[in-house]
Amino acid sequence: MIIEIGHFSVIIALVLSVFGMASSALALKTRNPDWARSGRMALTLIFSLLSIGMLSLVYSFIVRDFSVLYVANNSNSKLPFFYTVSAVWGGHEGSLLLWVFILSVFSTLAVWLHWRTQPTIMPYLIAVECAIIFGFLCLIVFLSSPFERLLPVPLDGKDLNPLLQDPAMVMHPPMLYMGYVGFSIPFSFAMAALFSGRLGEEWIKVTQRWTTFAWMCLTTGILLGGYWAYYELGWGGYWGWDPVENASFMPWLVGTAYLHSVLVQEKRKMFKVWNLFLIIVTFSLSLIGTFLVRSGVLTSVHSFATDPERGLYILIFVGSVIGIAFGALILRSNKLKSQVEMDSLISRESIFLFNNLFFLVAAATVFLGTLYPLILETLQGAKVTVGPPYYNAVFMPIALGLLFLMGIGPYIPWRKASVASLKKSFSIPLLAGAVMVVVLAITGIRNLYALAGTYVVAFSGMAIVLDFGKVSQLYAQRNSSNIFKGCLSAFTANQRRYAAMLTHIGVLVLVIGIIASTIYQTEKVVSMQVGDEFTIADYRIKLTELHEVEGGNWKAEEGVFQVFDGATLLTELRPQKRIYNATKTPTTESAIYAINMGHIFLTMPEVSPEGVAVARGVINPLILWVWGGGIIMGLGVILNILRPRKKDE
Amino acid sequence: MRMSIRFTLILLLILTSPWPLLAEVQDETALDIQVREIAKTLRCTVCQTENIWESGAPLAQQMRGVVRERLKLGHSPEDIQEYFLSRYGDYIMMEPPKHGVNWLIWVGPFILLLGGGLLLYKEVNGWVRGTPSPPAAAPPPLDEQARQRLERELES
Repeated sequence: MIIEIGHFSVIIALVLSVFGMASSALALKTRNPDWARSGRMALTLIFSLLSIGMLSLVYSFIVRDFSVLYVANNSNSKLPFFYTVSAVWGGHEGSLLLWVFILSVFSTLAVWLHWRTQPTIMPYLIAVECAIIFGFLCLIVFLSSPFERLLPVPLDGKDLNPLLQDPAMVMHPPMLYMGYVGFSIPFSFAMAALFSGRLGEEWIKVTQRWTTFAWMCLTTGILLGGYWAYYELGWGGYWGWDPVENASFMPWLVGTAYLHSVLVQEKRKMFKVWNLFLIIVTFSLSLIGTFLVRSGVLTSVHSFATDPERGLYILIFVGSVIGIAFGALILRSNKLKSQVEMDSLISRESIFLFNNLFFLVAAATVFLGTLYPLILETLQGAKVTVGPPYYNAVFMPIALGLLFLMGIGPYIPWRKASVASLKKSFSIPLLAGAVMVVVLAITGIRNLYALAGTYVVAFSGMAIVLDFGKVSQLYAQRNSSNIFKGCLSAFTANQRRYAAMLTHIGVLVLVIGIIASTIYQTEKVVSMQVGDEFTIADYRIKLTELHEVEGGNWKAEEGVFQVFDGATLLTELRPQKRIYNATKTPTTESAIYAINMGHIFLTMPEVSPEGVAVARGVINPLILWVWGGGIIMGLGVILNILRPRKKDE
Repeated sequence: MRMSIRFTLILLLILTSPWPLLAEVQDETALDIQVREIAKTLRCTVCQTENIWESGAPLAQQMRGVVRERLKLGHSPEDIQEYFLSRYGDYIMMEPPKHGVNWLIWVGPFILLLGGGLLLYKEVNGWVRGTPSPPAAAPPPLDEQARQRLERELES
């Protein structure tokens, strides 16, 4: 009964999305604000109805109502309560519902928040939001409904994919989707600007915080996914250039380009078409990312469903969004010609352009690498694999270029930089990079990527620290306070800028973590019995016990490994080889010990009935910097969003 | 004694087992490391984007066995990759082999970067020329307070 209420609510929401579009059109035609108000009401109702839809599905999962097909496919009587809720987005249908639910939350919020300040574009905004909601709801209602009943009712459910029974996986999809959907707000404002012809800087200023918020969610989502892959998939890495990972990385890359290039329009009123182009591409890639993963086009661990009807619908939907958006952009392009004033090639606006170029080429590389196998197979019937070795060779140089630009951009003045100012800003950072490289080379590091990466990180880091130091000193002098207070007042007086610099520092920390943990990873695989030991790096790892353990819905072989540094016992690690009862799927549960900012990572991929265990030890130096860098990035973004509002914003 | 027990055990497992990794390693030797390096470049054809080192599939196990045997026979890593290429085609490599149309994705990004960079350079230079230059008259000297303020603004 409950699930039918949800189903019915979602159908009404679909009807209301059509009504929302119609009433917005009427609002524009009759210029009667009542129609706009009823559009707003429609959107608000859609939000309420989709909440009911979500809640009914959550309820069905909690009471384990296996007469609902989706629940039966993604849950089980023994599934822990915690995961019954996250199982809602464990499959194709439910995750689409989550997507459109988040969209309804954001768009309702946006309409109410900006109603007073942006009255003229509201009908356009409501129409665009309703159109996207309509597209998703059609898919959900007609082609992939999570509300279907199953007859006869099975005694038990098939269970949630065991790999998804994990805390990080509870948070990963919602975060990622909040990022994807978050970009729909600047996208809708951009479309509203295009349709209404109000093409000033207004829409960019209004959506700046939305964009930053979306970017933060997407970044967090990607990092959570990496963290999950790291300890759950058990191969000791966090990023495998898997098509599914790439799908979320592409909108991130273009979104980051957009995040930067809007600054130019805000300050110098240039690049209007360019920014519209970037936000359209970003949101299109968000849609493509969602569907690539959810349609099963890509053959990879995450893709579950394959269904030609769905695929065709999705293709048409994404195609129309992209077509309409770019069509509007082209039709408006004559109105968008802004007077480009450029005083010098060496200026911040020009660096921003090169930043955009690098981000776009990076995104194109990932796009090409992800789709190339599909294209080649369709055209020639030939199969190739584009895996990590390709990206390491092609993507990494581009990423290094970006990091270098990151050190330059913020410290080059707008309009024109003089040679003297360049010298002043960059001679010390350039020197710092060189010194770091020499120091590392002396200590025996010869890897070219490690050295180049270090140079770039030292250069960019020094540029940030130097600038902040100088400005803080100025503030300290002016207020005749000490340097710490100077730092604080420098930060609060320019919070937008220095919060962004904090995010940049987070990126640098993350990059150091990535370089160290990929290039200097050591790995060893050993088969051993109780009493045996092996050494990896400086550590001695001894298997002391092998026994069975049982969880609520799984059984496992657990190895107890003592980790020694010399003669001192550091810790006991207990990796498991689990078999989930319902699906009989095996998973390897890793055991991790953090030491010196790195990890000792242990898994036990196989155990034989005779008591021989295969142990796989991995040392990941500085891997905590990867996650630490992510946290610093997030902190920077939060400080950016929470900055006090200035008059011109 | 213990060695021989273990040996028989492992032999048994090779014959019967779904325990892929077991058969291969005791403790890592130089050969193991070489096997790993090569295995990481080859794709497990029955898996989803996994190399034969990380995969637990029986086929991947067999392929690792082949790599090991050939290394023992003195084949070079390139020979071994060539061997797999000739049997399975390009699909077997974790990266597209650099020949024919595959060059597209190897050099494509760099061509984009270079082409885009040149285009951007030309465009920006064009804009710079089209922009009216600011008046050339020397600005009056600033007093100390104004200079400091200006410096601050320039920095932010």
